[in-house]
Amino acid sequence: MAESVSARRGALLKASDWNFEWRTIGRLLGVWALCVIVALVLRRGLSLPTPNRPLAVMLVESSVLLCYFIALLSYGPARAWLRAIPSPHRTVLAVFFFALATGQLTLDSRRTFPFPAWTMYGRKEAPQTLEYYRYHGVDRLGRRVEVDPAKLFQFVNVAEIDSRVKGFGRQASLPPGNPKREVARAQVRDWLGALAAVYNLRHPDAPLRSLEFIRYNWEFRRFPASQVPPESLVRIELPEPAAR
Amino acid sequence: MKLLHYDAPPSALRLVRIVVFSVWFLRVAFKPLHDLVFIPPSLYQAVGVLQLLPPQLEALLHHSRFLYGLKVVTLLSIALVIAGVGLRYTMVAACICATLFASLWRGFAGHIDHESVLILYAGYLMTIFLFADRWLEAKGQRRSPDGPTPAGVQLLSILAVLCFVYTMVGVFRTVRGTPGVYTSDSLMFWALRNAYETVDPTGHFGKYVIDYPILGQMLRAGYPVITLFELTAFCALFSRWYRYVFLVVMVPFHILSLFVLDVFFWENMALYILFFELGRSDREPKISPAQ
Repeated sequence: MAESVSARRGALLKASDWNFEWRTIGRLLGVWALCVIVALVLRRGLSLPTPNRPLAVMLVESSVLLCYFIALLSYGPARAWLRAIPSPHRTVLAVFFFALATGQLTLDSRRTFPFPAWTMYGRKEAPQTLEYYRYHGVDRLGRRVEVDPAKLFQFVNVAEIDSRVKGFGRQASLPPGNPKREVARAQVRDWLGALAAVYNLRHPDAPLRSLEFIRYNWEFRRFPASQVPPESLVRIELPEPAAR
Repeated sequence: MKLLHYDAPPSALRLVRIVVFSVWFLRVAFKPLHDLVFIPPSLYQAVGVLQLLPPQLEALLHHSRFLYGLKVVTLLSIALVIAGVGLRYTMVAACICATLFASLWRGFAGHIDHESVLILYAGYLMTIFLFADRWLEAKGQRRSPDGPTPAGVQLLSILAVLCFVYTMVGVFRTVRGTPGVYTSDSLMFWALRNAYETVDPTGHFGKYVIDYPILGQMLRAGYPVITLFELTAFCALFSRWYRYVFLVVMVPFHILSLFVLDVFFWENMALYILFFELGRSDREPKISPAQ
């Protein structure tokens, strides 16, 4: 692969390459406002936004992104490139970047997919405990088996499984009487049933007799992992398979 | 000064198209999406445009036959794109099928992961630009003779999207997480959390951040550097030296992420091919946009 066409060393810092065009900045401001409005509508519907911290943070984030585009389009070679490409291509690019920025500001990736928010490892998260879940089963031969959802449902990303399970796992461990607890426990039973069904398909000679959903809440700064007591939340018994 | 890929020849675009759709082919071929039939309705949440479908129609998408059929059609359309057959139709079919495939596999999800999303964007852009080229041709509009080549427009656009995504990640972290993500034990916690997400993670090193604090300190020291490169990713469009340094920093970072954070975006890394100039066109008077 050859590498011959590129910037001169230090070219980015050459003052003569930079030129702020007010017309371009005005257009960008208009697009920025539209992007913020669309993101707010997607987040909140048509209700008026209340001035609060999340709104302020979103406006700051969008303003920083706006500054990037102003800088980019004030840089001569970038602007020249954009002007040299045909107008349909320019429109495609503008719409694409608009969709990317709107998805980022909406912060509701489930709704805006395939234009999700790119938020990975972006917010402080340093709790005292680490919560994780395990699945202990007993098969027809009486053996204890550890069932791993990541191996059974390989089409789902491991982190997705973990965050989904934490969603209903936390609620399933709420104190009795909380209405969310029963809804979550029903979800856990559905989840265990799905895991058992796939496990039994893969292990027809030793299918599961029971499966248990175990929660670990580890104070990792105080104890080693081996000392974390398991907390059984839900256990399902599985029917005998029909005789062939 | 000319931007990267300014004079890219059609062969460069062909190469990138093959890389992008080959990654998609592997992704679809090795993703057992048919197991989606086992996910109970109470745990499934539609994603993206699938949310707009009526529930009865959406439920049809979970049938085993449909899922197998989708896989076959997706693989077939992607294979035809790689072979360069009927691109106008096969690229559209591949993009629609791949989007549907990617939406369905995220139906059981707590958060939406970013696996393969950039590759999806690359496919979208190449497809839409193909139609834009045809439209120009049909209208008889001429391109600027000194402007970027049709292939160059596409390649730089994909690279710009890649850089913008890095920038968005960096901006998000800077605006919403600074200084907490750097001064707290967040990164150490994430490494530990990801190591316990599953019984048998790909990388086990996250489990050692408690016993070996140096590992956590290294992560913490490297984090602002990574963020700096994310924030400045746009410089890759202009500076060759920046591109080299970016790769020297980011490739090891992504590989280390596999072992420490159990996260690996190999599909997106395939797009690093765009950090290199892939040949130069000899500037023929008329370049066929069909390529």
